[in-house]
Amino acid sequence: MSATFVLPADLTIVSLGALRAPALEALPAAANAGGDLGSTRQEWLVDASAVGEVDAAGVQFLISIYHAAAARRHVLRLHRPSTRLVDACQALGVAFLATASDNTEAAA
Amino acid sequence: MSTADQDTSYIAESLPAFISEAEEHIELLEQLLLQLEGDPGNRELLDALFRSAHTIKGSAGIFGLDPIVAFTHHVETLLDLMRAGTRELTPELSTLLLRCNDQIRALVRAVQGNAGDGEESTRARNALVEQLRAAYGDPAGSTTPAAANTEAPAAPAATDARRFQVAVEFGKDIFRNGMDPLAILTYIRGFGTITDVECKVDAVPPLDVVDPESCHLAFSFTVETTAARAELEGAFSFVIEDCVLAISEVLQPDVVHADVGHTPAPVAAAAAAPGAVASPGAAESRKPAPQRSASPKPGATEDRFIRVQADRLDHVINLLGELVVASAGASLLAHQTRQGSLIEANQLIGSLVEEIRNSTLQLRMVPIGDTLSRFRRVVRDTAAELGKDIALEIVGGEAELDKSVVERIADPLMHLVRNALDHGLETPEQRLAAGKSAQGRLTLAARHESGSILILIEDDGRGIDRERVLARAWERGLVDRSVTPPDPEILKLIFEPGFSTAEKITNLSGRGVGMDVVRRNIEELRGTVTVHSVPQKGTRMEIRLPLTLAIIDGFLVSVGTSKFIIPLEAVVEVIESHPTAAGVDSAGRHIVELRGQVLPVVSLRALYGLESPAPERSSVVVVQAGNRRYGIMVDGLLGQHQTVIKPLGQMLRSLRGMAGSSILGNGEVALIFEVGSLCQLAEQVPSGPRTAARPGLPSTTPTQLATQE
Repeated sequence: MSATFVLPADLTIVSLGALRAPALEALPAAANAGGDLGSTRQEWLVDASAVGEVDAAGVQFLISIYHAAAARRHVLRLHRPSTRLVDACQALGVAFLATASDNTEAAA
Repeated sequence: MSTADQDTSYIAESLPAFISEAEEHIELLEQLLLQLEGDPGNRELLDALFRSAHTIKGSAGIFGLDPIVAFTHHVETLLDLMRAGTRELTPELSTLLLRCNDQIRALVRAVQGNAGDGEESTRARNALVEQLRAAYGDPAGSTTPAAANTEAPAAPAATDARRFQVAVEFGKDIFRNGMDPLAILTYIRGFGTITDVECKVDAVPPLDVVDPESCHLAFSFTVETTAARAELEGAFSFVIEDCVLAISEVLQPDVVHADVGHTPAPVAAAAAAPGAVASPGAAESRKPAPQRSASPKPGATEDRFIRVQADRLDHVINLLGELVVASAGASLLAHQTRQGSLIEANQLIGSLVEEIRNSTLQLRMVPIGDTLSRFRRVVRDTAAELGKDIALEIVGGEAELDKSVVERIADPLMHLVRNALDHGLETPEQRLAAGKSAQGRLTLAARHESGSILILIEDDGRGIDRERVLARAWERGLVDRSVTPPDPEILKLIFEPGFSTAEKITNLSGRGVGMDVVRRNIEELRGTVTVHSVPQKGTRMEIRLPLTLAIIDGFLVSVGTSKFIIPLEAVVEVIESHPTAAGVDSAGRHIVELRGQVLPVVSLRALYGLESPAPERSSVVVVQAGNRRYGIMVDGLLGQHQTVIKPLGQMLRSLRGMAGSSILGNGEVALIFEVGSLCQLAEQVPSGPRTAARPGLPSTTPTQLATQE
């Protein structure tokens, strides 16, 4: 499965203003809701391998993406998140965002 | 006034304070890095280093200085890894960080000069960023401190470790202000172990509606640390105005300390139950009062400093000068009325003015150590560049002197230090061949002496080659070829304009400019510079400077109708004298015998050609200059005088031995002596038969005289 959206190397306050529009554009269309809401969610893969710089604003941005994807009945899944990104998410108590394993359902 | 106008006004008013504070942190960064080179694992130094970089970045963010924020962020990242122990400070890394610090300094100076960011500067900065990136790299496989968040709570590092629950809601503007909650949490991690970090993710709006530059983050976590609560609060000091913070101590697991009264109850509850992640609605409904209103500011008892603009202080000191003169005038008038009560009242005012004067001047006194410490970097880099091994020793950095003197002495000192590094100290091979240790020694020392400050720059290098100095002086026509001056005079020649003995011009010194400028700069500060050198043993430069340029305690004397002021600190005693014409040369120089010692004396009447009849009895004011004493022959002793120093006009500036002028209470003008250069005039004892005038004894101290007044 290939990522439809690629996070830049600089995921800090400096780059987020310009990143919002392409991220919105890349968000998947709302999935069809079934009888059981939890079981119908689809994964939205975002390539996070290039992230070299990240700050709290960058992590907050990921949380926003996560919520937007959830509203469209998708779960955000980061593809090959860089160590710096994983560390930042762990430090800020949102390790579930950046774990490579498919545990986003549980977090949601 | 619109909000934008208010912001602009605030920035314009506060930017100088930012620049001043940033420069202090930049200096501190440099000193800490240099200290760390000798003690790379020192945790306190690493923490202080990180804090300084963090402060610069945070403050720059408030002013929207994005280039500083962005660049310092990279430096901070590397420092953080060093602090966490995943990177060690190698000499290469230290050099890189010092260069980065230079870059931060350049960026701050660009802000100060309102200069734009040049292409070359940007290129240099990008190159440094690349090197920083390479240095901190991808820490894959390494255990980063952040990983501690997912681990079980660690055992306390020490038996006195305490647990704190922290809950914080950051304000919307903190990202725009350059603050980064990630950096704050990372900083707190330096205090101990953070566990149970919970982020209120539901408070963050979805991408469709979020403004990515507004902060919606709120956290709760537990810290296990030996640090005090105030230290934890200090971690939030840059955002304290823009966050809601609650810190409470946990005495036992799940039991919150009764001290939680400082903490708004709802937040405390959230802190005590870290598993509870509040919904956005709940967060709004229980927004507590800011912590800062309920709890004393961190460090409130320690940080008793007020940053004051130098201009304001200068204005106060100028007014003080006027007050001193006015007070002296009032005292004079009071004496003329011969009314005891009025005289007494004026004496009280005079003593209060003196106290205010001393206290106010003390405000501008700063330790010279900060200036001397800057040379650690110069010595380090220059020695490396020249292939020399040089140890720098700094002695007496706590000696204080006026800030304006400190600022103006830095450049002359720099030149003398570079001269010592470039010309005085040898390479290890040359030193070993000369039977010395491979490592050269350079000492910068400062101490108070006779009301002045004495700064020494001493090396154990090759010394000054007198023959080469003399040959160059002959070549340049500074000295007639038929004349060979005595050794001390030869050494003084190095301060002549255009003089240079360097055979090889380097980019450090030896361009034939500088030493004359050094002397001129020092003399402009009413100081003196002298040189002592022993071949193959080393050179010592002595700079003597007044402690302040504004107001001094003076000793008022007269010659005929002229008044002069001698700095009181230099006055040792006063003796009576009955001079004879014999032995006094045309410049008024002679010698007297004082308790069996020869005392060189200079007569002011003769020296300055004052046309007034000499009195039958004169006085000799004995002054101390360095480790020698000299006499100044005067007609009358008028006692102690608070002296406001005014610069000499252009026409009088060439007067030798004079440092400035002062206006007396009755409007008369008195000239103020610069004791060092006046004594140099007295030092040259006239040739021919020496007849010592016998002074009358006992001696009278200036204090006694002042009392008699």
